[in-house]
Amino acid sequence: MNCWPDAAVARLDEGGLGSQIERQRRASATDLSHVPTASCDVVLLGPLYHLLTTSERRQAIGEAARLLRRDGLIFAAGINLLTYLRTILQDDPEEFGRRRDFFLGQLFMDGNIALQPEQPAAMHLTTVAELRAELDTAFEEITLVGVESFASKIVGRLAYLHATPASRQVLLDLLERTGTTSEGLGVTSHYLYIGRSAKPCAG
Amino acid sequence: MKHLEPYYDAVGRFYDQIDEAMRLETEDPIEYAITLRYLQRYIPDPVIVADVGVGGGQYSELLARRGCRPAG
Repeated sequence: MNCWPDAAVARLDEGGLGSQIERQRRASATDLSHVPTASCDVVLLGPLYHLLTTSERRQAIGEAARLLRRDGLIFAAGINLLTYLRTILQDDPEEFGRRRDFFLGQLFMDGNIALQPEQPAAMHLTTVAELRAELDTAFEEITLVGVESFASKIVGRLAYLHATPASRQVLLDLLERTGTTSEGLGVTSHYLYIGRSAKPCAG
Repeated sequence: MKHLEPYYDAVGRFYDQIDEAMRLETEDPIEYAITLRYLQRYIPDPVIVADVGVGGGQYSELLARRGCRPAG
């Protein structure tokens, strides 16, 4: 995975924060050997949803666990497979008929989809059960959040942007309250897993 | 890097092209706001944060402003 695209480095440089970057390097999330063991307090692990095999995701989770100090925190993101189906339903429901075998077969075997039509798969979609099963091998779960809960991307974006600040705060409180429930996790677009390093620290 | 395959380069370019920071803040403002709530609540400052798959760098910027040191 390209850990630090140019856009990210430029953003911190422009903000006068470039000197605070401890290190940055293009590397695969499955091999972060340039970062010492037990050298970080927090790992933000976005790329699980770009790693297409169980093996690669396991390696990335293992590397995140290795980087963390005792009681370090992991924040890992996942994308709800139902979100993709909801988007297809909204944008082009005929797609279901055109690609029947994919939707009823392959999609549920590996969860992988393309970023653009006619392109090879490049994104992995997941479920609550799969995300927990993969991350609980290395971390002790603190919470699993359905980030958007009942406010799907389709209806949530404009409603949020047009709301007054006071209403936004209430909406965010409601999303937070419902986001960790079964119902909130079921309808959300994105998952956020927060966990604590569960293994003894080698350092 | 030798082990990086073209696929990974393509994903990296994707995030450079789509402006992930802009996507989050304007296209997915709820995802951004709720994620920030949890980051602010759980991450003490200043600490060292490994931002693996940094995307547009918006979370690293936020944490760096709080005194954290991003690494990855």
